[in-house]
Amino acid sequence: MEIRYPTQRLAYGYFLTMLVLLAVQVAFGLLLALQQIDPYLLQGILNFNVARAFHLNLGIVWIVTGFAGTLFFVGPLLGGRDIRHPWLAKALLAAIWVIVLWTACTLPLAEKGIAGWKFGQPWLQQGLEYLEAGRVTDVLLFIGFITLAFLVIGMFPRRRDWNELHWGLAIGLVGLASMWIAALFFEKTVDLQEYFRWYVVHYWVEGVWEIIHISLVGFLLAKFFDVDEREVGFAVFWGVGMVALTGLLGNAHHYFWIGTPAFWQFWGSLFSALEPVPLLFCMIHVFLDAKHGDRPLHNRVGFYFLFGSALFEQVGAGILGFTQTFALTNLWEHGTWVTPAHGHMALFGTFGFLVIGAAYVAIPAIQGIRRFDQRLSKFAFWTLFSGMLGMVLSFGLGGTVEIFVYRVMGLDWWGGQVRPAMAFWRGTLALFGLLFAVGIVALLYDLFTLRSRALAEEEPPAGLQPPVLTAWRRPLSAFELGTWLAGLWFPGLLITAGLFSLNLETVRMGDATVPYTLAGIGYPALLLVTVAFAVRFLRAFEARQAALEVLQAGAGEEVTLDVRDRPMPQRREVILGTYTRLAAGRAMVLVNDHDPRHLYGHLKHLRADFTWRYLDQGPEVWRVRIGRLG
Amino acid sequence: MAEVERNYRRSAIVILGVMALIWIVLGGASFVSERGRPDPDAITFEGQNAVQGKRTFQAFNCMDCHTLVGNGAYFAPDLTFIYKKAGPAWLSAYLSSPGTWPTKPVVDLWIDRLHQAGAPHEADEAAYYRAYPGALKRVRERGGRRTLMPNLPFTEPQIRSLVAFLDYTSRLDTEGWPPIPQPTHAALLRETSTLEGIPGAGPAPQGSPAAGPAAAQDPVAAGRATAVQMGCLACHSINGTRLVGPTWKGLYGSAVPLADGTTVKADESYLSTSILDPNAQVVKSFPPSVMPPFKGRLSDQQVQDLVAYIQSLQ
Repeated sequence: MEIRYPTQRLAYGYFLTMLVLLAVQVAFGLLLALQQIDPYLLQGILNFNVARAFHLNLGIVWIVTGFAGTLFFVGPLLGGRDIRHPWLAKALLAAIWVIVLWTACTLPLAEKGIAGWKFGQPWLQQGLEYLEAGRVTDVLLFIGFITLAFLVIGMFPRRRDWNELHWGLAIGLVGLASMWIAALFFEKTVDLQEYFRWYVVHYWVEGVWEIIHISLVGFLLAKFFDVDEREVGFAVFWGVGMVALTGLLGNAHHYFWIGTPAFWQFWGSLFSALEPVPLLFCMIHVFLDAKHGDRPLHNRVGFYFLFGSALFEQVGAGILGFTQTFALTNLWEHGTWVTPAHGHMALFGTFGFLVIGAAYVAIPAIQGIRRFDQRLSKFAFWTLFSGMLGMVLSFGLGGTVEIFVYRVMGLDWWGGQVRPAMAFWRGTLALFGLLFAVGIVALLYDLFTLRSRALAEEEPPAGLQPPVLTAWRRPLSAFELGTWLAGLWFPGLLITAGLFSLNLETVRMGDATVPYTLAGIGYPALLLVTVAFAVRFLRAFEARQAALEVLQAGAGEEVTLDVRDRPMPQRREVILGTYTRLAAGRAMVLVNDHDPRHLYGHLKHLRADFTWRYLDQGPEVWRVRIGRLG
Repeated sequence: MAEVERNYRRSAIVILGVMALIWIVLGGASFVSERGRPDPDAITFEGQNAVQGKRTFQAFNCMDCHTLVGNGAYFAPDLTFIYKKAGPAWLSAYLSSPGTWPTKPVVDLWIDRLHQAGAPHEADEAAYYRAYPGALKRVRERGGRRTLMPNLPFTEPQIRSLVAFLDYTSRLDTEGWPPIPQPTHAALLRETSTLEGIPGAGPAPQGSPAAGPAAAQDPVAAGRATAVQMGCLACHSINGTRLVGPTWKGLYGSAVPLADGTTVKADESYLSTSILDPNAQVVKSFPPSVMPPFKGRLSDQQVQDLVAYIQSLQ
């Protein structure tokens, strides 16, 4: 992607800030994992609750900072103009640092029980999960969200020229600020407090963040693969529409057990179970759009992270969310480690991967790097990917043990019976957390020293070889995609069945065989299929891009097929015969005496993946270069 | 845009409007006064109400270790119904020194104290443990041992407010969450019928039965035994560390600054007074009223033993 407006460069500071905050968040995550193993670690100096408040709040701040960076980078392209008030965008970044440092000073006050009560409000810190910061921070953030919306929407064209992307981002940004209002009040009762807390937490991550996510994914895909804007507009409208239709009442799944009436169980179970639908829709569009375009994409790692975002959204938010969304499964898993299995993958996967992907697009563009060595970038991707999966496995299986020991058998946490039962999974959690941290170090090193890995622009690059289409690298068909998705959902259903089985009389009387077996198969299978699918998808993607690269470079011999002197009825057969014998990355030049546009339609109908470029367009001779991609 | 597509989009927005309406109705119906939700203003404990307790609960960010109605950090037990299990006396004893599990004599002391203060709680210890079987289970299995929780510096009003808040949360109707465990439920009922075999059980010990004959000859050993039995070491360290209360190391004979600005020498008479009536002379920078008075709970011999034990910690 390119820099067309100077103010796009303002995104740079946001992305660097985002990376620093991300690294600090992961450091706190590692500390939490160690404190899970040894609860006395740093006790009295940095208690678990303070470390966790840092972990959660930084997680929100770096993702929102990444959103802001991405919006400032793509906003001018969307609006066709520079940012109106560059000083305000700079001031906003400075404000983020002020807010972060201020909040970092106030959160540890929890160890002394100082909340800063004044006018009935906690101004310094308030001890509510995800909303730990005090009212000072809340008010500053509110002003920040309004500023962000003002700056981004201010770049857009006149209202009647808005397309779905403009609407999506505008709704998302206004929602970001307006939902935050629910975080600004102290509630005396627990049920009302939780009711409004989920306005922020649920309607943010499953509402407005999701809307911003869909719009940005749509925009990035359109840029990566030259997809028609109207097609993306269709996907963005229905993606956003389905998120709203399922997520609005889906929030009810947070109101099952907080002291609100039982009717929420009906609404929550029903609509929340539909929440994976827009995520499937998003996955399918990533698949469709990645088959577009006849220019090779150099910045492939940007797409890696975008794909990772859609996949982790599918698995973490869609499937793992689905397992715990029914009142009868939620009854058991609520308040156990099974919840963070879903939370970590959904939050980091969906939003984290997206903004990291955006950083991989924006940072090279701002530094003027068109090609760079992406081996380290891909190492970072796969390390983060597998580290997260391992953490999810630990939370999921540790949580299954926890449910049985704590909820079914009624053994006591305080009696020291629950902790030892989960000990093994605390260990694996820390180990996979360490792997994840290695990925973070690689990511930061890579993005901060990208210049040193910039590649000279050779045209054509030396040593270009057409891809060898092994079973893992051949093009992915729609049917195969469906099979993979079914392969992901089947273990998801096993996990769901495992949670349902806790209601059985035999299980409640102390027999853990059914839930342990289903979870023991379900979680590892789900995560292994996730890895296999990612490898399959990205290999096919790489093969297609490699073929495009070879075709663009014009490397290798071309077959020329002149069908003018053949009888009409034989022509198509001959052409298809020649096309079929082409290797991926090879091209044929078809010479014909009329425009072969019906052949184009026929090849599309056969779902062939090819490039099509006219060399001569009549009136006597038509010459088309047809390149085979897979 | 095709007409068909436009119509689809319009109906999607209309359906969304209907859903928003359903949402508003459901939300309103959840908080009508007819539902009889517990009122945190009206639920009090020893002069503190549950709203004050909620403020304390938030101020210490309890939710980022524990869970409440299942929401929180999954690092420590859920607290929603702990009041129903362990009751106000156990909670008061625990919160006074959350770094150590309270022993039975300390909980008994709180039961008496609450009873004398006119609280409508249980008439005597046996009745209390019958009403709150979780308290008995806790003192029996964990009493005197170290907890995993940091020794948070709760003040005495904060402790009372937290008890009121946990009383309030235990009255929330959580629609059957968490599920009641079947086997243990039966086991709990069985346990409530027996009070024997608990270390330190029964009324105030006169002859210090836990100390044994050998300890009776050595006042330092007897003092140490009493200190363990009464849970003193939960708040008073013997290695110089500051816990909830002042350390005992080097305390004897030292000059102790008091909250009123004066200084007193930590001799035998000061130490005995402080054990029996801790609020008479409060040490500077330590919260008042957190330590329960041990008057009537310890024999003169036990107090002397304790002082001897403190004297030995130089």
